[in-house]
Amino acid sequence: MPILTGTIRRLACSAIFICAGCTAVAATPGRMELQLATLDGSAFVRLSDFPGKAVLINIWDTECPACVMETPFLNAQSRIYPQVQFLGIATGDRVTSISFSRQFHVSYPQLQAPHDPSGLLRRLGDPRLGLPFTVMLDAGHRVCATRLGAVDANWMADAVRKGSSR
Amino acid sequence: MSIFDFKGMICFIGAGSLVAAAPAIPSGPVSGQVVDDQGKPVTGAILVLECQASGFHKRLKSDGRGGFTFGGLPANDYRLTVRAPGFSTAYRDLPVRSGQPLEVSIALELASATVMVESNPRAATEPGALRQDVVKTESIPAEEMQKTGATSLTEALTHRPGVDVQVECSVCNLRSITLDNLPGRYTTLTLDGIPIFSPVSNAYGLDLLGVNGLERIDIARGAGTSLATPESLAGTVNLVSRTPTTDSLEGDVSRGDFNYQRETVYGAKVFDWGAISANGTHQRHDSVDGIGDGISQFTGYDRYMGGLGLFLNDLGGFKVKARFDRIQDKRMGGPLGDDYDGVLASTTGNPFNFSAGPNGSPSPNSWINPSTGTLVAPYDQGAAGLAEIIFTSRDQFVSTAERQFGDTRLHLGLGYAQHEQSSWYGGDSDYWDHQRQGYLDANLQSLMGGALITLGASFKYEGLHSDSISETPGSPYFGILRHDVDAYLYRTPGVYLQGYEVFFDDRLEVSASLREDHNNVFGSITTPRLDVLWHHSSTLSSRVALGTGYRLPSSFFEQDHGLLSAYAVDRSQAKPERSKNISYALTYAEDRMAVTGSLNHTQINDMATFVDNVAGDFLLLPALHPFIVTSADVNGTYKVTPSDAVTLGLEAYHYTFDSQDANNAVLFSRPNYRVSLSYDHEAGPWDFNVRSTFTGPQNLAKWYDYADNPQYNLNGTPKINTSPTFLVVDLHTSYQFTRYASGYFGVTNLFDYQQAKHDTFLYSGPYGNLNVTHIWGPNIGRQFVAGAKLSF
Repeated sequence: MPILTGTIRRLACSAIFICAGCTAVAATPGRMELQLATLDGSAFVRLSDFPGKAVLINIWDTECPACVMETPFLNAQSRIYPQVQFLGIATGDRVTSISFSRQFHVSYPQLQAPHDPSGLLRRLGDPRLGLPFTVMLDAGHRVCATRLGAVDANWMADAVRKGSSR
Repeated sequence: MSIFDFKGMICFIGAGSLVAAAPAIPSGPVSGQVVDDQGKPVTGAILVLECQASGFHKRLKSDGRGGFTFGGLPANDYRLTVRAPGFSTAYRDLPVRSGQPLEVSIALELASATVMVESNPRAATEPGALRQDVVKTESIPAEEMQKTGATSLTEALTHRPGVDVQVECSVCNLRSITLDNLPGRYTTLTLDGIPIFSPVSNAYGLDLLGVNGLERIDIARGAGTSLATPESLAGTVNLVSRTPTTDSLEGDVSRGDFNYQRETVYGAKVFDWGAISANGTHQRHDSVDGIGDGISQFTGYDRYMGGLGLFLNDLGGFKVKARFDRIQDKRMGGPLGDDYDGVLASTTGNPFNFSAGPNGSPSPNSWINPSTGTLVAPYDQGAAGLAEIIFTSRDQFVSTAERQFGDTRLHLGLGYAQHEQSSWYGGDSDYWDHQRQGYLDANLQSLMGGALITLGASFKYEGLHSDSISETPGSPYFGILRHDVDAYLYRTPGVYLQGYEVFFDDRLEVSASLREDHNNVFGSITTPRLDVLWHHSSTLSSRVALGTGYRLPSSFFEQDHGLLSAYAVDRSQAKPERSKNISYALTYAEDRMAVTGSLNHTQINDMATFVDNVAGDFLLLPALHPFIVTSADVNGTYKVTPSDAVTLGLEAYHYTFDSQDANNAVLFSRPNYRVSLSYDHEAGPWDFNVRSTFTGPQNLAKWYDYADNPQYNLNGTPKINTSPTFLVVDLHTSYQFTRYASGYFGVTNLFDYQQAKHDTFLYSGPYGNLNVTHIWGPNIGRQFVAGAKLSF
């Protein structure tokens, strides 16, 4: 009986923990946070590592033709807009993604998508789970522009303007 | 006058006529909603309404609910163009006539350059999960299979929460995939959603399904989880072919203990019109004897698999995917080695040692008859007497085609398989079978109101013919060639309807389906199913599912080879097996942690049992008692550091069944619980994975019905009533040398736990008859495998 009681207590604690997690997400409406490992596994990266700075997040996969096509463009844009922190999130195989990033000399940090990326995509505004998906966060890390499909110079300029103006 | 001027004149005249005819009567407005392929509103879509005749041009954006309205339109023929980032442009021709408002729904498809994320463990609760033809509960991507070193379907599905692979014959490696620990024959296999596998082909065919050329494996636990497979009493495993997106060439070579060899190649070429792919695999493995009795506990094999894929982007408007596979396999268990002819020629003497292993016989040439306590007559049937030699060849073709007609998607499916098996079962029979299966399917999927409706029809054909010779001296058919002892022919046309709709701002998804099949032998069978998915938040989801399934009694030869010695297989009292299933899953997933807990309850009624009656016939009878499995499982992954993740899985099972039914249905023992713990390290070029599985005790006395069919060791002592617990640890590591080259190394069953070292697979019945199916634990010990892979 004590074992059973202990199990139930642990389950209750887990449930509280889960609910607490939900509450934490809901308690800060609009402001995004994430904590993902870099592709090489060397560190966790959080949005709070870039306080007061607009952040552009591009979610991609090596198996996605549009993602592959827009990578050189995004890499160039990251140099044109140094005031924006670019982050890539790879949903595919980690080692293949590293090779791909090296091949294209991607200069901004590349992160591993969560074990299940659907929650992250929903949070960022991509309920259809389509790729590539790009989202601009303003300096307060609130979503101010999203794009499903490859980005172009016009969208980038508009997104950077929105990200910088808030 | 140019053609453009001419058209302009017509427009002018036409417009003028309309103005003259009805100058002050604008038609009703054109309004509607823009939605995506999941029926969800697309906001900010650009809509352009034009009339070539009048020169009318108006542009607006869809609102927050995807809605739009063009008001005050003169009657005319218009063209509506709808664009949204990430979607293909859609067009509609709208004949606007005076009087009536026009309501249109525009469903946008994702642009071909965009792809959908395939997330793995939580596929059960990801948005839109319920709208698929196969409502999957989990998915294993190719990367995960690579990480664990899995090379075949059976290796990919071993020891996963709620999913496992069970060995059902120690000398022929007959294996099955169990879902929620239900008998393996209740799991239905499909290839790209098309059911072209049967109990006959699965008996030895699961090992023949390599993972080379696969994009992922989708698992759908629960009865009737696929519109195409109402016969899946426990669930469906769907193999999804890889669709090439870039040119690639991959080669993989590995070697391991027990003379394990594997070579695979995969190549793909992408063109403007589509792509082609080819893959090939060769695999071989020696038979394994862990205790020195000369009888294999793991069957040796040599197999070749090859496949071709064709992918067409636009064939008369259809997007087509097709694959053809050819498989050839040779395997032999019982005596060791691969000298098939030599074994068949060895029909006298004793090449085995029955005194080896735990509780072995006092004599190497004989064993104790428990009823007398004395040794039975010395074994004198040579290597052939215990041999099982099975040659299999299989050709299979599946193809799907899809075309969009406005808001309606037409999906066509075609499958064909030809399976041939030539087998020798020492002491039982010589058996050849030839099976053909065909499958045709057509369905329409369209948005009606807010619901996505799928309406379809299918036709399934499954036929088996066989030749056999009884090798049992006591049989009246000993040495006589017989035809079609276990033949059957099923033709099953069916129709189905599925509705899917989202409510409450996408938080609630509901999918309901109903299937009606009419079998040529068993008549009409109806199978309904309901799935409900509730997204509590972006991190927490619940799913409830309930459904039913049925399975037609087909070949039971895989259950009991001895039936070929009987006068006949009497199917006159056979019934379809039916299952009812209800399940609930709760999933929590955030950036570093994902946890899924589920409860499942499945009841099988009319389970098919095989009874050897006093007249010598084998009666195919429905069980009098239901077979019930209730289970709970929890599986959670936590990213401990940026490069380290730990996964813990717990499964607990409760079984309700009648022992005699279980024995007559040839069910194999299952554990009461299982605990698994995995550790993944991914850093730089290194990937390292350790997976440990602790299996709880199994009530062997109940599963194997000791009360009616006691089992004894070869020294005459009773077999154990409950199996011991055991731990199996596998590890796999890989290193990426360059962008193109990687190497890997793995060990399966690191601590070398083998059932045969504690309790052999061999047993004697109460009167000294020898059998080989006392099974509860691993049948192969520690194995090292190393290899190299090149990818271009």
